[in-house]
Amino acid sequence: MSLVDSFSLDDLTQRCASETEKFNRREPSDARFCFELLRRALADEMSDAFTRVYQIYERQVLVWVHSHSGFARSGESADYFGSTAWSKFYFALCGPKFDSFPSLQQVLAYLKLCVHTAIAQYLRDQQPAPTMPLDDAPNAAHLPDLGTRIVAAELWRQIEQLLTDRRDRLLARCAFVEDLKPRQIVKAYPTFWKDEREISVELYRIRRLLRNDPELRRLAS
Amino acid sequence: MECSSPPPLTDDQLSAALDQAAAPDVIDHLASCASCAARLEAAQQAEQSMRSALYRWDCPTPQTIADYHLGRPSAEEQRAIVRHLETCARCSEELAELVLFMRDEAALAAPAEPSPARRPASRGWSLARLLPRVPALALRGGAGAPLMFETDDGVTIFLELQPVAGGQIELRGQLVADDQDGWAGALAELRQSGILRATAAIDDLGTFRVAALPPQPTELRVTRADGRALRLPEFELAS
Repeated sequence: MSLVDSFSLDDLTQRCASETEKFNRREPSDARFCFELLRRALADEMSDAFTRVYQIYERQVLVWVHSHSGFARSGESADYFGSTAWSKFYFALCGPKFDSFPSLQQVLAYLKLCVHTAIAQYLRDQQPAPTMPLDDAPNAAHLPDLGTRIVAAELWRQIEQLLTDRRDRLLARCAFVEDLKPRQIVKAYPTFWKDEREISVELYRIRRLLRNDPELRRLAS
Repeated sequence: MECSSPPPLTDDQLSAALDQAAAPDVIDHLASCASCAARLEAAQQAEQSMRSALYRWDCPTPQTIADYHLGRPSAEEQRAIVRHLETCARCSEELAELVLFMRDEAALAAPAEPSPARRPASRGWSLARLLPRVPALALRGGAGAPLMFETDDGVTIFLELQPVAGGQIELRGQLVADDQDGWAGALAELRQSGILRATAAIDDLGTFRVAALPPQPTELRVTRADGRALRLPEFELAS
């Protein structure tokens, strides 16, 4: 049994908070206390311990939210992303899953990563499907259901049968799956297409091929 | 319906119009010809229908991409993600954003949040409303009727408040939703005066419990790992 195992929750919290302050001041710090607090919170699923962890790192999480390049364009509140990140973090590391994270640095890196995935998922969900006006875009956490994905898979399979050229498939994917504009496609694939005009002309040809296919029309309707 | 100003527009001219890159004479033709305008509208609807069905249908989630960045998936899953990234500009961009974010050592000081009055309306939180209390639903002797809250997307939350030692209040919650399984493992946060006081995980029956809180106005948020989240209006923590 190590020294930290015998600490009460209050003592552990106090030591963790103190060592975290030292770390933030770029002073030498001891990671054992915070790691043990996190272990009790996540591996042992002690809600009191998790509350303490949340309280100690809450400000850091909000700093990460504000520093993320996607936060400003999301238009959403920081506390929403903070809560989502904590929920993801808990879900990903609770119980035996915590064993995959043997150090404080790795645990906190994953917490930071959860901030990113919270924002990235929100931004992806808020981008409206092309038929939808922005105001009607679904709330966060919209994910295509299984039925929708099956239809999409069939649709894409049919498109691949019609477009045998690799460049055509890539262009169709950029335009119809990723909803990229010609200028974005040129930027992403400068070795394939040199300008927007070239993309537009190739899209005309691709559309002619796709438009004439009755099976595609049936699947898309 | 026939074109009012023959010859009718070609498919390529309609394609240009779809891309909002039509020549001025094509734009003029569309403005004056109902037949060609109808063809354009039909083409727009067909394409939008296809784009809507296909939008990022096979893209891995941001969580999967993040796990890939950490080297966590199996070798086979990693190979599949690499193949996807070779032909998906959007996922590649998300990965690049992640890499930069993880490398950045953000300063400790967080910018102040705008006050609630200036904060833009949140699309992330689903706001619950308090329902009238129903005395018949009181489940335990000595406890008042539970508080009931309901969101527009069909989630109901019951909160039972019980006085415990030291003048504190025990809170027992029950969340009921059509997609009940999706709420298992969600995180409940209880705040008083903006300060986090307690957390609890929702179990697979939708229940959660907080042993003791001071009897003060309390805010409850429940957040799922997939980002669905609900927020209750502040309520008095009193039995």
